Amino acid sequence: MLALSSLAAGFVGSLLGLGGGVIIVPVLTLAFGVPPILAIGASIVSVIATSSGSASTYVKDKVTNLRIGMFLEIATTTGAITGAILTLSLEKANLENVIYVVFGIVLLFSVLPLVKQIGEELPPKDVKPDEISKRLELNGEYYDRVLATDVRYSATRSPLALGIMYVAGMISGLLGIGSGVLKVIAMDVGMKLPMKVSSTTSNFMIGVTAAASTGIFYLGGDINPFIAAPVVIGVVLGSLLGTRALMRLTNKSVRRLFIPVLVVLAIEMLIHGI
Amino acid sequence: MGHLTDKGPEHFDFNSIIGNVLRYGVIVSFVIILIGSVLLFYEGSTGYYTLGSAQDLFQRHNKFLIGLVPTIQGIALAKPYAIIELGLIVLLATPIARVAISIFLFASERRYILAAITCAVLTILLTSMFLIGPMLA
Repeated sequence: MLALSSLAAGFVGSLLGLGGGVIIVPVLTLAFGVPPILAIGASIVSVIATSSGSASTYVKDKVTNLRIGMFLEIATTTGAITGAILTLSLEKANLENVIYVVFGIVLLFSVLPLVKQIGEELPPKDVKPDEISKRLELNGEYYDRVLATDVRYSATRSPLALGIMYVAGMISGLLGIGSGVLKVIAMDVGMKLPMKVSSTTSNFMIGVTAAASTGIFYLGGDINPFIAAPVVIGVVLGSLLGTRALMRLTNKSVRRLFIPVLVVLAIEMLIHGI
Repeated sequence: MGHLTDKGPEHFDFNSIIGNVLRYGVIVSFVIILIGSVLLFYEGSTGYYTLGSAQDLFQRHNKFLIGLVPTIQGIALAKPYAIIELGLIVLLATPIARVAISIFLFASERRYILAAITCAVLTILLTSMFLIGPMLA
């Protein structure tokens, strides 16, 4: 028991940018031999914790756009449900290897944005909002402390963002991860929102997406409290430590640390699946 | 404070409300889970069965305590398992509460379409939990 919780804490302690799920699920399944569904269940619960925790800060800072978040969540939650159903079906059909392989692939893909930095700080000035954005008033403004100005923005290409969000939700429900990367891409590249709005809103949305799939897992009996509890404790403590450590490390060293770890985990998952 | 907000002063401060819901939801659930885990450790049993080997940990179904009523009964008897379950329920409830509250916040802003959208999200969440979950057990 102690081993479980301390390891969860240690690993997640180094989670400085990416959601916890991508490390927790491989560790649980590969190192501890936990059946994938239980690992996914435990991980997705902890994702709620990290998401809500960090999102609370951003929301209070008024950088998060609650309207865009809520609007896109239709897509992510339906996606999450699809993903959870998919993963449960795979398990019933004894096709769990597929989960491993998919996980490995997704993991490899999520390394890419780390390697090549995406997104500009601020979008171009003349972003024309699309029809839906205008109707729902999905624009906004926030005060950027670093740039010391107020930034106004609007959103465009909502349908595209919805589509990407659906996929992001599905991956989240399928694998027990946060899919934050995909969500940020949807908002940053798709909707042309400022980077800070994209990442904070994504953070905010991850919690609800995770709750959608957790709901399905929970009442199906697939969340084992003995696994979930230490993971949640470890994750919360780890992220507290992580934010402190982040101050002292440079972006470059963080990335150098992370990328090999993720690649190794990805390969292990692939091997396990094939 | 120099911030531009897009809500007038006569409305609630949505960001603070939602931010607090999220924050305290996590804190409360964390504390509960912590207490339950410590108790679990201390007593060496879940209150229902003692932990044998590590294999016990990996059972798939927790048939005892799915649902709110057995959980509350369990807590009354201070069973660690039930306490942990409660913590997890609180954690799960946090984003759901946030969605529910958002419905009212949007409505008070007269953003009725967004309120309706939020309603839809809430419905999706609850349906998935109560209908689909048990179906796939």
